[in-house]
Amino acid sequence: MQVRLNSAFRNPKSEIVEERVMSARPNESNPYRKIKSTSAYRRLMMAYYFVVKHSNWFGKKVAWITSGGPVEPLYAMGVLPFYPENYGAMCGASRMSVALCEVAEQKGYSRDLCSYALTDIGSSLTGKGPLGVLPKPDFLVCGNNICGTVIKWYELQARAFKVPVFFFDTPFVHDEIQEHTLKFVQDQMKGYISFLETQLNRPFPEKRFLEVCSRSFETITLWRKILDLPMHRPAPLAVFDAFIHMAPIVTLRGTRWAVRYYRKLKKEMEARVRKGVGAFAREEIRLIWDNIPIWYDIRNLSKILSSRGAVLVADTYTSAWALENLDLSQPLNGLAGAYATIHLNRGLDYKIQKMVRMVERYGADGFIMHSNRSCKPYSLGQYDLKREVTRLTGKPGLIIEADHTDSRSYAPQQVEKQIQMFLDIITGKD
Amino acid sequence: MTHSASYFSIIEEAGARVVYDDLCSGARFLRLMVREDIDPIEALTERYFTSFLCPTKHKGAHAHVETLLKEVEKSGAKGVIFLLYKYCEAHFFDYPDLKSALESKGIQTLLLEVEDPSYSIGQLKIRIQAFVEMLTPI
Repeated sequence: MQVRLNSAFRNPKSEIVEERVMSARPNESNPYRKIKSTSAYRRLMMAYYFVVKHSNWFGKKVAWITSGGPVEPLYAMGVLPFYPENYGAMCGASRMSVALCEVAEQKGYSRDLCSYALTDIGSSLTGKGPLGVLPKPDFLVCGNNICGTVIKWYELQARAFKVPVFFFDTPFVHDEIQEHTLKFVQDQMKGYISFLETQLNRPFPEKRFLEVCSRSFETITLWRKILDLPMHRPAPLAVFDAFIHMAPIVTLRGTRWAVRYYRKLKKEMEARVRKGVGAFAREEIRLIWDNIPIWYDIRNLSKILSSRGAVLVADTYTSAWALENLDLSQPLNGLAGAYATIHLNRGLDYKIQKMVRMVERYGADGFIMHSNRSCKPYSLGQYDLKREVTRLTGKPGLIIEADHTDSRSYAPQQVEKQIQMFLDIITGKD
Repeated sequence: MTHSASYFSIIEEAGARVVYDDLCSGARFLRLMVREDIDPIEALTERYFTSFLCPTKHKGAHAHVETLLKEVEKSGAKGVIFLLYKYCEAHFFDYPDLKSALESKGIQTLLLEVEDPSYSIGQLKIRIQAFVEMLTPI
């Protein structure tokens, strides 16, 4: 299968610039400290994928759910959640996404569609990918707080698998959430519970739900504290590490496993802070990242940055799972409020304030924004966001164009040059 | 699905007749008939909840296929031309299942991905002509 980069839509750079960039780059090493908890992480995720793939052995039903969907009621009902987006990230990281997208495109799906969706469609059609044949969903849960694409994606999977889909509708929050919006989403939660009771033919277990919510709350609190630690210098955890270690909070939020794992990771990171050990030996430039990772190029990007002593210390994506406004005094309403106000469901002003606060709290020297071809809600407004954040913080930003899992829409040499030039600007070498 | 007036002329010049349409600002709005026997605000609200207008609105997983099949059969059309705007993901996500549903009923389909204004009218003409020729009984 041939995968060719469409270089026609990339701006050609002059040779003079290339020479300058190449000579400006120092060739120093910057050792990376491996996180010990990673082996526990691997065992945990393997166990999760094993159980979910063989759910019938465990007598469990499987629901496919969007990343912003309320998972707590599922765990309360003993349903295993599977996350096609998380799987898409895995396919991207394993460099298997392009082949799966091409299968979907052969079937008539436009290449312009979100590559997570194309990857999922390709995987459903072929049974190929890092997990092979995926567990068939008993039903689907689709929340549009992350985007509207999921509605169409889940509709087609509902038709393909001949299963019902519950649509969790969260209206966009331009400034602050309105009372009627909150009430609307709270009613959706009630509808969700009824839907689950019908699907599973048993009543919703209130007590178990409270336990799951409290574990979810604890996991979120642990994750937030872990993500706060890189405020220290040097940062014990780099953003590229957080991209890996976020899998349990996405897929296992609400379980004891997630709580145990993040307690362990937090302990290790706190020990690093006490000893003054950073993720990298040299940390000279601290940066913020915006948007979904470029899943297939994490290691390479990390090396490009670290060889210049640049470390990503915080980002808007991993922090999105540190749900705000989680009020557990009334769990169902609390969840409604939290899920309705996640990062991607908020207006530009919120995003500007959030990034400005992040730059200030983490002492960042600049920020990098991934303009993600696949993700309009995350990428729309990035140019305005960049301008405003620079205006308000005085720190420079860089926008790089790519796709989160489709490497056909990525020009790595181009991006590397842009990053080098950007780092030159920050270090004052013009 | 798109707006330019030239598409109708191209299709008719090729020898076909457009017997119905589902354009974004076309006949699909006939689905939004308003009840006149209840409070007007109630009636206006109700029509949005009861009709399938556009794939950007979720009305269940099967509404689009069912609506399209019904309207195409009622119109007696022999073929369906999908004029989809580039980047309109709502239509592009639905397209493959709509195509197979129509073809399983013996209705031929053609997909034209267009931009507005269109930059390749010549190419569109050729493809529409070929499609019409294919549908024309010998």
